[in-house]
Amino acid sequence: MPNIKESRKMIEVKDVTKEFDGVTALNGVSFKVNEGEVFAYLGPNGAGKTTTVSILATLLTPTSGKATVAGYDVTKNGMEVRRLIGYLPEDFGLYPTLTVYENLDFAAGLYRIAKEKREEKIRELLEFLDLWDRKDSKGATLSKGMKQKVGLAKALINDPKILFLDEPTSGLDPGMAREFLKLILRLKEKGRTIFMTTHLLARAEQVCDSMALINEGKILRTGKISDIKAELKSSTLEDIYFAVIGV
Amino acid sequence: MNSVIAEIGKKELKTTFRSKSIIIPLLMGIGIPLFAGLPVTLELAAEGSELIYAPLLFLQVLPAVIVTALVGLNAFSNEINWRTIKSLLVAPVSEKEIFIGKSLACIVTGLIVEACLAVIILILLPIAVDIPILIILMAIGPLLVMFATFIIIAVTSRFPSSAAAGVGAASFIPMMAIVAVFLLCFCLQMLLQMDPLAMQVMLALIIAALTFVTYFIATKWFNRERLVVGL
Repeated sequence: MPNIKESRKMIEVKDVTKEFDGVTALNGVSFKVNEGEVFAYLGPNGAGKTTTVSILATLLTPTSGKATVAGYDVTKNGMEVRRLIGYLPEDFGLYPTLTVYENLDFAAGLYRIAKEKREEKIRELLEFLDLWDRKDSKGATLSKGMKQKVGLAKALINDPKILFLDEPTSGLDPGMAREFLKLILRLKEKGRTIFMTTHLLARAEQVCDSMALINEGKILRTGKISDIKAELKSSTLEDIYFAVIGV
Repeated sequence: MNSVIAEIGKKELKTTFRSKSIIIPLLMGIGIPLFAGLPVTLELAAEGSELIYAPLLFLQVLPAVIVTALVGLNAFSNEINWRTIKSLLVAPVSEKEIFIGKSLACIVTGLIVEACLAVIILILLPIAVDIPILIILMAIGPLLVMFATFIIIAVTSRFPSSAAAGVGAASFIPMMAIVAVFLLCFCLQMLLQMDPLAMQVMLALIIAALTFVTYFIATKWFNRERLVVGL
């Protein structure tokens, strides 16, 4: 049984490579995320962000290298990792013909939450996200922002220690993106470790403690945002991004 | 039953039958074989012909297998088209549980269709029901539904992108497999001069063995990564 408190490292990726039919998507990727941190995983399209998240969420197996989540090896202990994490994919993962409540009830069932506890849990989450009055709306009838919130509720149904958010603000209008980032701050206050990929650098800067910058499958820079700013004499995350990517 | 398997099966039934696009294919899948096969079967039964078992088998099995294949074809294609597959695969559910949960919805639907057809046949058939007929209704029919289910779920999980693109040809794979089994059995019957009872028992045993082998191979085949990469 891994000792999480001792290490305080909730995610550790060591020299991970992933190839698809001879094409290298990740090339010796290494970084770590501490408990309670909000971690920004930044990079241009096709850099390897979603591949990394998919490996950490046990959807893909690394070709080589090792990745652990809460001390568990994602390849060898996939089931243990899945019990501990919540995952919000870029496309929300909602069934359009099921209602909001049914979507969450199904998610709760997958995590083996007892029937009698589900209603209370779903109500708590939907009230937290201001969605209780939409519980009977079908997934297909929701706006993109609402789908995103329901997707987040699904990701939180098992009280995960670690939350993976893949482009959580992509496609949201500025108001909704801001509201969503406020939700992330509220989750951070509750002590969750959050790993998010995003393009919205200014917004990410408001909520993230540390970061990794990836391009063409390689990590270019990783560490505390404040340390990297000091090192590169940059005042914003956007400056860091362009200085490191070299655009 | 494992609660997660039941949850997946229940969700599968809800999402499948709330989709209007499946209604017409379902009605055609049941209606066409029924209207084509029922008059011939009743006519042969009234004549007291020994050839009754073949059309009876066709009538009992074909609609149920078509319905099973239609439901099964959507099992992974809907998850992929709706982009829900990652959320399902990231849950603490084993690959076997996902496979069986998806199969459960097909099997339940197929068995309901079979039960309805069996009632219709038993009411309308103008002859006494003998053991070979009971074997067709109670054993061969349900076994073929399971066999067809495991084939379609295995194929669509192995080749998710073709299923998601709506390549309906996948739904004919179980039918082709079943026709091949029937042909094999009929050849054996001719060769070994078997009576109808022995023939139906042999058919039931062969299908049971094939169903078990298909289930074993299909659960080994099922792979999370392949479904994600297939997106």
